[in-house]
Parts: sequence; structure tokens; C-alpha cells
Amino acid sequence: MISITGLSKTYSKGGKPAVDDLDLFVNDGEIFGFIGPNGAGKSTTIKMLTGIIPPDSGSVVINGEDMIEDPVEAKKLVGYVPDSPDLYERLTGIEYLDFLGDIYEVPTEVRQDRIKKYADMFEMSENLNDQIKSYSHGMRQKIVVMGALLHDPEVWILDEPMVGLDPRAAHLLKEEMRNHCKKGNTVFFSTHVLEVAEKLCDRIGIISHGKLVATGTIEELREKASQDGSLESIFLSVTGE
Amino acid sequence: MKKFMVYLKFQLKYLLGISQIKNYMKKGPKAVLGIIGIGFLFLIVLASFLFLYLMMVVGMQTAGNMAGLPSLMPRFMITTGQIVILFTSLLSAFGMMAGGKSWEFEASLPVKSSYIFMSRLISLYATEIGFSAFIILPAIIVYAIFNGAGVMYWIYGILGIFIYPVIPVAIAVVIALLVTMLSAGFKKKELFTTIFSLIIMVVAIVGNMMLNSSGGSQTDIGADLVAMMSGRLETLNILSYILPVAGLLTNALTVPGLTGVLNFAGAVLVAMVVAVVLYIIGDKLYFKTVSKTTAAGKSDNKKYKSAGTKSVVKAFFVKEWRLILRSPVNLLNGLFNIVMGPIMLFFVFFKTSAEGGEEALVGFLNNYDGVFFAVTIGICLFMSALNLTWASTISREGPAFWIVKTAPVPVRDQMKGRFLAGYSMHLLCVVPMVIIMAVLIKPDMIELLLAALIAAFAGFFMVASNMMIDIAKPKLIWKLEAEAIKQNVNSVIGMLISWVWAIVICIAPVLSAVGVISLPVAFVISVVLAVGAGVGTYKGMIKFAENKIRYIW
Repeated sequence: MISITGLSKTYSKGGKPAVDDLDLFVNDGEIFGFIGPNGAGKSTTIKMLTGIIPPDSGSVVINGEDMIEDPVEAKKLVGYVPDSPDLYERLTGIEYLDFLGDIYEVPTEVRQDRIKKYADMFEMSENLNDQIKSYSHGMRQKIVVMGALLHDPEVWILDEPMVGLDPRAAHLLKEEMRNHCKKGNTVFFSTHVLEVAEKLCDRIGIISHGKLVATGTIEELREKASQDGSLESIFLSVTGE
Repeated sequence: MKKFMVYLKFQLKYLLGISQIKNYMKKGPKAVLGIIGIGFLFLIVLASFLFLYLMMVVGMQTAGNMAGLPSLMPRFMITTGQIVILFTSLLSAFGMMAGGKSWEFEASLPVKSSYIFMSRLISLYATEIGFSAFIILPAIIVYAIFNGAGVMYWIYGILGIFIYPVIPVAIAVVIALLVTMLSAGFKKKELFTTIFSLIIMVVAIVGNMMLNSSGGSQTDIGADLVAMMSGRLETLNILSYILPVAGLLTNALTVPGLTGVLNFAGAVLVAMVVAVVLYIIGDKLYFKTVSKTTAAGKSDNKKYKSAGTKSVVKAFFVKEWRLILRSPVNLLNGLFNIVMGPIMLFFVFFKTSAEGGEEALVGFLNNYDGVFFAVTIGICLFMSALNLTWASTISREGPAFWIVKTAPVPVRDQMKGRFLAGYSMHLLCVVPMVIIMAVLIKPDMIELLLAALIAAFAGFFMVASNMMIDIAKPKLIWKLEAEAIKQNVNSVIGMLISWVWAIVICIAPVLSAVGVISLPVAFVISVVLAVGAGVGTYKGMIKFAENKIRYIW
């Protein structure tokens, strides 16, 4: 469960808010799609959700843990995939995963099983001993996803996770997202690929100019936008693009 | 040509940090004041070094004039200064010339690879002009004050600054490209590059030390200086063949008339020929060499093994060390002092022994209470202060900083791991030096132990204060690792603070050496200062990090 209340962030004093009084609730067992035009405030919202930047006002509660009051406990519940797979390039894949395993306190045996599972799934087994700087973009994305899921977090926050993944890996990740939510967990992910959001998400939130302009199931969004078409036409109508 | 100039302008703006400074200044008056403040700090550091250098140059010129050898000082400084430029060029060449994250982007542009090569080369050359000015200007100003100078002298001097770095830069670039090319054949290519660069730098520094060390055992400083300079004449002549611009420039400055004109013209011609040859060699080697660097990092062993630590603090400690050891830039700038410290000790001891001064040196250090104590602490701390990794602990995270920001680890524990990594580097520098001092000087063991303890404890403040500087304003946006560690003003400020601290810690030991206070009292004062300031700064650093890091992005 993710609860966002009155979240605001302005980067420069007197400037336009990047996120403006955002209220959002994501239920347990839900895949929530977060979409919006470039510069709408998606990444800023996600960075506040994951504790990377502090909000100017408002609160973020993840499964009962307040990200602002007790960030350490809240972060334990979150697995985060950033929009750009920037990593420690001089670590090998396995060293990176072990580092994350250490900081998320994943027991050794559990860690080994999960690494094997995801390495086989993403076909990364033969690359884990290579330094990350030798990885292609897609491989880096895979190692970031593996790292985010290693501690089996209850809440997944994924910022454009499919970018760079090959079709098979993207399909597997979507399957994992569905399975994760079936267990009563939460997935919050942003994407520019509206077809994926339309097929995968239980509910969708559309942000524009820092404000949540529409939220609901695809049917609810169609009703609100008075549109019978695809998510794309709803999106264009609601964001005025 | 137009395309090259556009590309060159872009490279210079980026590699020399001009774009970053301009963008930073757009943030408002506070940012401008910040830049001015940093610039002022740089000027203070520069002025300090300049003052010391000027004193040396004035002393040498005075001695030279008195000995009837007025041109000895400029010949000596201008020729040996080329080795300094070679050293600084080598430090930069690997990072600036060979790859970096932008290489693949640049290689995909409809721009000749020779343009990419030349633009990076000119950027490297531009940074060395500053060092050239630092070396040449004081020498020619002092020479002119003592011996007079005409208009042509100043023309040669000013223009000479621009041709002075050409040969050392050329040598450094060729070495960097050849080493990078050779290392491509090795599995652990970066280790090969690092070790090779280390060897070259040690040779350059030791060579410079040998050239600058005293050649005689006279007690008269002036005569010592003349003996030192004239004792190196043969070496200087050899260097003038390898680095002809220095010799020709010196002749142009010190020999008036037509001879001077011809020498200067010769210097310009040699520089131009070297530049053209460098362009031809570089153009042939560059693309081939740099494209090989992108394939680094693959392992033959496909069977991975998960092996974590059981402690979060240890995880950060291990991560810090891994990232430093695997990066040639970080390794050279962080741990170079560990190699140089012992080399310098051995050099000074064996040079002194060779000149028959071993007994006097050992006697001086051992026979007067507190002297060994003060000298050992001073040497250890000044050498350890050369570590640039402490004041770039957050900067080196770069775009991967999100990993530690999203980690469910209290900031306190993260900083502890980083601090322990930094402090272990301090000990790695100090402990071997203390051991070597013990072996060479054979001091009183109690005095040795006390010195070792103070040198060790003094590291608390150095590491913690340097970390605080980087926490205050980390440089997280960079393309080349060198930008995070070496081209980072935090590292300069950190080193300065460490040196000031080293002076402060040495006050009590020096007072004991001159008999003002006893050794035990000096030890107590030093330990209270080192531990008190160290623990206080460490705690302050943790508190500062806990408050500040949540806002860093």
C-alpha cells in the first residue's frame, strides 16, 4: 500500500512546482501505472516516494511506514528501479548484487537462491562475473531489476523498467509483476508505453504539470475523459496535448 | 576547419569546466560568491606555492650571480621544469585522452577521429599552459631583475610559455596511448595501466628529486646551490637533447642578439615539428587504442559465487576499496602517497649516506629528544595528506548515488564504512613509513611508538574533515572519474586542511625538539589534540551527514 498526501516539491524558490499537492493511494495487490508527459513530475514523484529527495510538504507512507519520519524502515519495504541504470561500473554484477544483499540484510542462502532464480530468468548467469561497465544497456537494466527484487520487497517502484529489456525479459518482468500483486503486494510503475500500461495496470494515474489530472481504472478514465478510445486518446485528451 | 573549431570549442568548454562554471553562476548571486570564494582559495594556495618557489629561484639566482654563472638558474629551472610538466601531463593524459563515457557518443558523430584526438590534446595542452606559466614566469622575472632584460627577452619569455609544454605533453600522450594499447592485450588491463603509470610517475618524481638535491656537502647554502646546479650540468645537457625546447628557450633568454633570435626560432620550430609528429602518430593510434578500452571488464570465469559480508558497515567499506582499487585514476590519486612516501624516505637516506652524511643524519634524529618524534609525525602526516579520495567520498558515487540514497541503511552506518575505508588508507601510508624510519634510523623504541600513535590518531581529523567538505557540496555530475576526484575543488580544499592540520599537530613535537617542553608533555598535548579533534570532527561529520545527505541529489 502506498499513500501519498499533499506531496509538493519545487526545485527553485519562486519557480513552478515540479509536483503540486499530489494525493494518491495505491491499494495492496494493485499494479498502478503512473504516466504523464515529459517534465510532468513523474520522476520527481518517484524520487520522493523512494526517499531520494525530500518533499517540501506532504507525506509518503508505504505499508504503514512513513518515508519522511522513518526512511530506513520504509526503504526496507521498497524495491526501486530508476529510469537510468547508473551503477557502480567497476563492480561485477555479482558484487553489486551482494552489496545490495548486504545492505538489505538478505540472508546468504536466500540471497543465493534468488540470484540464481533471477540470473536464470534474465539469462545473466554467464555475465555476473563481468564488470558492469562491460554490460550493454539492456544488461544493466536487468542487473538493476535483479538488485531491486533481491530482498523480495513488498512494494515495487519501477521507473520505466522495460526500457532496454529484450522482449523476453520484458515479458518475464511483467509476469513477475502480476505474480507479485497476486500475493497482495504492490507495484507502482511509470512508463511511456501506454499499451503496456493499458494491458498491465489495475489502475492508472496521469500526471501533468505536477498535478494528478486523472486516476482510476481504464474504464473510469474513459468515463472521466468522455473518451471511448485507447489510453493514448485519454492521455492526450486529459493532458491537453 | 570550421567543424573542427566548433568541436574544439565544445571540448574546451566541457573538459576545462567552463560550461559547468557558467551554468553554476546562473544560479544566482550566492553561487557567484561561491565561485569567487573558491577562486580566492585557489589563489591563496597558488600564492603559497609561488612564494616558496620564488624564494628558491631568488636564492639560486643570487648564488649563480655571485659565482659568475648568471644563466645557471634559468637553465636549471626551465630544464627541470619540463619533468614537472611531464609528470602533470601524465596524471591527466590517461583520463583526458583515453575514452571516458562520452567516447562512444563522440565516435558516432560525423566528425573525423583526428578532430576528437586534437580537441582532447589541445584541452590537455591548455591545462599545462598554466603550469608552464608557473614555472617560467618567476624564473624569467627574477633573472631580469638581477641581470636586466630587453623587449625581446620578454617576448621570448611570454611566448615561451606556449611552446614550453609541447614536448612533455607529446611524450605523455604517446605514453598514455601506447600503454592503453599494450594493456588491451592483458586481461587485467586496468591494473597494467595503473602499475605502468605509477612506475612512470615514480621515475619522474625521483628523477626530479635527484636533479634538485644538493650536490655538495658545504655548509654555505649559496655554494651548495651553485654546486647542485653546476653538478647537474651534464644531466641538463642530456635533457636539453631530449627536451630541446627548454634548452633553446633558455639560450634565447640568456644570450642576447642574433643568437637569441635563432635559438627562439629553433625552439618554435622544434615545438611545431613535435606537434605535427604527435598529430600524425596520435591520429593513427587514437581510434584503434580508445576503441579497445570499451571492451574492458570481461571475465573468463562464468561461474559466479555470491559472497556477501554480514555487516552493512563492512559492505560499504569493501565497496569503497573495490571501487578505488579498480579505477586507475582513483588508485593513483588516492594511494600514490603509499608508494611515494617510502621511496622518498629511502631516497633521502641513501642519498645522504652516499654523501657520507648518514652518521650526522642518524645522530641528529636520535641524539636530541623529540627530534625523531617531530620529524616522523611531520613526514607521515604530510605524505598521508596527499590522499584525494577522502574529500571525494560522495562525489565518486556520481550518477550511482541513487543506490545509497534508496538503501535502508542509516546515514551513520554508511559514513562509518566510508570513514573506515579512508582511515585504513591513512594507516597504509603511515605504518610503512614508521617501519622504514625504524629500520633506517634505529631510534629509541618508545619515541618511535609515541610518534606512530600520534601519526595514527591524527588521521581521524584528516579523514573526517575531508569527508565533511565533500558532504557539504559533492560533485555528482561527471563524465570522467578524474572529474570526481582530481578536478574537484573539494580535494584541493581537503588536502589544504590536512596540511594545516599536520602543521598544527607538529607544533608540540617541534617544541619538544627545541627543548621548550619535554617529550612526554608534547606527546600528551598531541594525543589530546589528535584524539579530541578527531573524535569531535568524526561525530560532527556524522551529524552533518545525517542532516545534509537527505537533501543531496
